[in-house]
Amino acid sequence: MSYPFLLEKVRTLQDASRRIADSPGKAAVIGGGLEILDEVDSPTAGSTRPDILIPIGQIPDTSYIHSRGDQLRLGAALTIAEIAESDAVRRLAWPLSEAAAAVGSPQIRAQGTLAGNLLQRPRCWYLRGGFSCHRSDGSDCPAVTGDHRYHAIFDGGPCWSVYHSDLGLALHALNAQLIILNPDGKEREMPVRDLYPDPKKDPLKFHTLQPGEINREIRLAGLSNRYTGTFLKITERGAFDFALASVAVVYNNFHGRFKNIQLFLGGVAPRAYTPEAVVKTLSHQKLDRSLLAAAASHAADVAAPLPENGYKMSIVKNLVRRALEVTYDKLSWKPD
Amino acid sequence: MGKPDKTTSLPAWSATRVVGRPVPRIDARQKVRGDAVYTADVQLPNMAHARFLRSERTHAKIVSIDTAAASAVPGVLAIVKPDEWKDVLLKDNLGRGIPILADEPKYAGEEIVAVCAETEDAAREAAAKIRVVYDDLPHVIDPEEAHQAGQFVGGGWRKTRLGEPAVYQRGDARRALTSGGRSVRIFERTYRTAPMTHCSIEPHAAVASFENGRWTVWESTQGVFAVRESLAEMLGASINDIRVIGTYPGGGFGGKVSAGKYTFGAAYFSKKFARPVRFVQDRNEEFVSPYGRPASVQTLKVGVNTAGKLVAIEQKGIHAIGPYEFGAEWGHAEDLLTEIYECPNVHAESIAALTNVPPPCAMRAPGYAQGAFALEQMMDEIAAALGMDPVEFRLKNIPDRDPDSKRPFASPKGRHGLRECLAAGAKNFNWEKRKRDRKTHEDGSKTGIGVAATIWGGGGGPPAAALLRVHADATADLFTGAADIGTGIRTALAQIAAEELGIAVERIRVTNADTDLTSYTLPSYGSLTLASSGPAVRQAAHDCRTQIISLAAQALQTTEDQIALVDGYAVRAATEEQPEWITPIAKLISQSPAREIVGNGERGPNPKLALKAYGVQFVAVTVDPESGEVRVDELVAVNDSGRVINRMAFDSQLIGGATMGLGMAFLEERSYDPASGKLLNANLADYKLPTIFDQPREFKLDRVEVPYDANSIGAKGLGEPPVIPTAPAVANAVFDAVGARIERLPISRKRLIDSLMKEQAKK
Ligand SMILES: Cc1cc2nc3c(=O)[nH]c(=O)nc-3n(C[C@H](O)[C@H](O)[C@H](O)COP(=O)(O)OP(=O)(O)OC[C@H]3O[C@@H](n4cnc5c(N)ncnc54)[C@H](O)[C@@H]3O)c2cc1C
Repeated sequence: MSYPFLLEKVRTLQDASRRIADSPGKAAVIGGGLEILDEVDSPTAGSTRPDILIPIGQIPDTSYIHSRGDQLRLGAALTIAEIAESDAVRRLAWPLSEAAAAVGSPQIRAQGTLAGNLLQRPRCWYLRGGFSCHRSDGSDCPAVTGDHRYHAIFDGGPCWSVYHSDLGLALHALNAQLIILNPDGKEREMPVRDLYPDPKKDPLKFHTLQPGEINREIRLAGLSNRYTGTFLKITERGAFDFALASVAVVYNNFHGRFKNIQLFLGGVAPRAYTPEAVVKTLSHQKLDRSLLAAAASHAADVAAPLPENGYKMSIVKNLVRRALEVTYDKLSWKPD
Repeated sequence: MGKPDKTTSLPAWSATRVVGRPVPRIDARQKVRGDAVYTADVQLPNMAHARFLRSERTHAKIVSIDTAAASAVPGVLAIVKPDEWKDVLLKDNLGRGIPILADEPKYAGEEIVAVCAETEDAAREAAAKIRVVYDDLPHVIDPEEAHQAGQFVGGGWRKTRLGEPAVYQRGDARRALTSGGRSVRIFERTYRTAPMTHCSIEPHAAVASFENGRWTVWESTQGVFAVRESLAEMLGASINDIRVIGTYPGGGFGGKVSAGKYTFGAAYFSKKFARPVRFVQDRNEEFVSPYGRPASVQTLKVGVNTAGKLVAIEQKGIHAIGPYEFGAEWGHAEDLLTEIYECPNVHAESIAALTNVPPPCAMRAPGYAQGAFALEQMMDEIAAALGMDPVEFRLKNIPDRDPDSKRPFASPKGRHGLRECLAAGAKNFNWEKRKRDRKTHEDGSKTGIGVAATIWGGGGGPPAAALLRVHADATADLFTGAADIGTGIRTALAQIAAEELGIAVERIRVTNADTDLTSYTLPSYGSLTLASSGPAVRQAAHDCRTQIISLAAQALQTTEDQIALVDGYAVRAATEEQPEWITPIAKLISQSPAREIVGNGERGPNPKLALKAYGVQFVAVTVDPESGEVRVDELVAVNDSGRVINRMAFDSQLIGGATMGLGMAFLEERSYDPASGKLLNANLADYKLPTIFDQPREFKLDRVEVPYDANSIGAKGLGEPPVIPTAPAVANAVFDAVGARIERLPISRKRLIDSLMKEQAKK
């Protein structure tokens, strides 16, 4: 049960985009509704409650998985379950497949959509609990002196919330592109890495889409067999839980060396975070399993935790080591 | 007072045919198919909807309440402010009242306004449009802070004045701890448990309808009679003005033993508007209304002599019981330590600290679950320090009569349920072997094992009554006041009746928890339902049985002792002179003068013996000290609840209890923001209940049925015992694996890593 709102059907994404642009703050697309219905029910401080919702899943051609060559194109309204179950995704972008399987529970995966997952607001219990904070109205972050056990240990302040989209983290490592449709009917392409504004500069925004812009598709280059990669997360409970910390990593074996390491951490910084020291330690080194643990031990070198979340440093180091070892062991060729 | 139940002249069953079998629940099909109607499902014609507006502030004076915009919402019927209901009090077990609506809310979420409207949406929208101006006042969340400020009363069942703890005492603990010299070793530690929420799958809910001067109330409750009494008092009505129906409560766990504020609201509006009113809390409200397990801080000081016998226990427990004295009875954790082991000197203080959080109520094994986390870890710590096996140390301290009342146990001489549970558990777990093969895996994770024990009352007792009507086709209607809160009590009671009547369980329809149709029975709490209502049902069924047998003896021209009732027939066994003779029970009844057989049963009082149920759990864990992850590889649970009536339900209780215990051990905690006093995780994503994946990889369940003849069915309680030992058993296993004592629940990744860091810093 919730406030009354209007569910409005449109025929094309273009119509949806225009409708939203024409009624600023009033209309929004709804994917699975897991996020937006929450917002409609208990709006966070500062948010506007849309009262026209346009179900994107009912618009034709929004849920597809196309693979041509090593190109993978994913419709934005795909459910998380559809991604988790797709052979093409497993074959070409298995870290995304692993991330999808790690989201919430079967119910959440069946309902939540790809774009909706990327566009979830930070899961900070102050922000979502209706507290006034840096992201809601620019005031001081209450987590700093409050209960911040789940908050950021990297890049924290003035906002200490953490990045929580499992799919998004994998898409960072895979360097995916968003195809965005705007109200004029034009499309633009943007790396997923640019979807999230820096809260230090732009605290009141949660994404860089303009009003009325709709994410139509996600595109990525599939991984060849010289690549390895994985997604892992550590949670408080066995399922139906967000990451205390998560990791997505992709790299390739370039003539027997670590190359092109894409390493991102979730759950530990306001945006997906790369522990540069780890990347630097391994990049261009000869493939060698014994280097991994030492490299991972640098994962939290520049962490600046709050008084009660230093434990995440231990988790991050453990998680990065596991991720590096798992991926290393999956390499199709390795010296040892 | 009636006769002791033992002497209702019903001998213990020797061989049984239905009792003891794994019988699927009689209502399993309805529940699984969604046919069972829970209170929140009740839909009546012309029904209105009510809800509360709750305080945004943790402690504040309300300056003004502006309802203009709210009243303008279409469909709004009434908006009630605190003064309109100021004379109505909701009372706790000791008669301490709190207002339904507060004009000075003392915790975030306290009820301040009630709204009734045509639809749920309208009620919600109106509540959101009420403008309240608050004047903030200081608040305290931390029970230790409140204690230090002298803001506390005694917890438990002894009322005290402000600033005075409730004290339990036997012997002289202080002297024993100070004058024992070197022969007494002393151990001391402070343990903390988290505030928890029941999270029943059905929220607190009432639907009331007022017709012909009388209320019918559907309530999600553990006790329809308790709801009726409390509601009658709040309404100023007679008991027979109210009918309460509670056939299918969607869980209770101690949180639904009596009427709630919402019950009063539903009844009040239903009379006012002469139409049914539905008052159902939403999930968020479940976390901020007056229910839950209170946070505890327990300091234990234990003395043990060189022979490994407990000499003295001193305990101080500080419990966060909310801003009123209401509910202070749940602010205690001393029971377990006063009765589980032999110990001549005990001094326990229960301090119910007045804090700005929702008042607590009973939650599955209230006090015991918190107390066990402290005592059962302490037992482990002492055993290790003495170089003793923790199982052996416990065995050494098993009492031979109840250490508190000094009464003998209601079990045969020389037998003790805890001793037998420990022995069976150690065997099922392979304790001796496993003690020797702890491992560190290649990935750095370590294995560990742990054990913990429990005791619980659970003897049941009056009042409980039952009525059984056996019809002319040998089907029967059983009427019992007991609520089935998910334990399967309806099935167990049907089994007991079937056992006596010699008819199949499926032929018995159970009508329960309806104040108009069934007779007075205590709520289903305290693990007493089976041991209370079971003997009443047996007596009612036995009453019918005697009458049927008498009809059969006449019909078969024999004496009553020659007749058996089997599978729907009265049977006279073959003898040398006569062949077997058999006739359907249905035929006997249809030809009888009354055309039905009616039997009554009433639970008599218990004998003056110590009535105790026992249990142990053994667990094996794998701990990753870097990530803080703990996997429970195996959990062995063994309980002594006397005679097991339904083996399937027995196993379910153990699995459910231990799973809830794992929630307490690893996950569940209400987290309050210290500055605002608001709850940060009032939803099921952030307040983490265990999932299937948090259960052990393997459960091994077993029972020891120490003969128990304090009631005629030989059974005692099992609802609460299985939740008690889980958290300390897990904590002991974690200690075994990584050498860090877990002093605070839940054992989250953070707490474990922090404890290990602390341990490292010490070295
Ligand atoms: C209990 C629980 C557990 C969860 N666990 C996890 C987890 O473990 N890992 C994880 O990653 N997530 C988790 N989630 C988050 C969940 O995956 C997201 O809430 C879900 O994916 C949102 O998808 P949706 O389709 O329901 O979003 P919606 O609510 O439909 O939309 C979310 C937002 O995106 C906008 N939007 C949707 N589609 C588009 C589009 N195509 N273009 C532009 N804007 C769009 C909407 O307007 C809205 O603002 C969990 C959520 C819950 C409730």
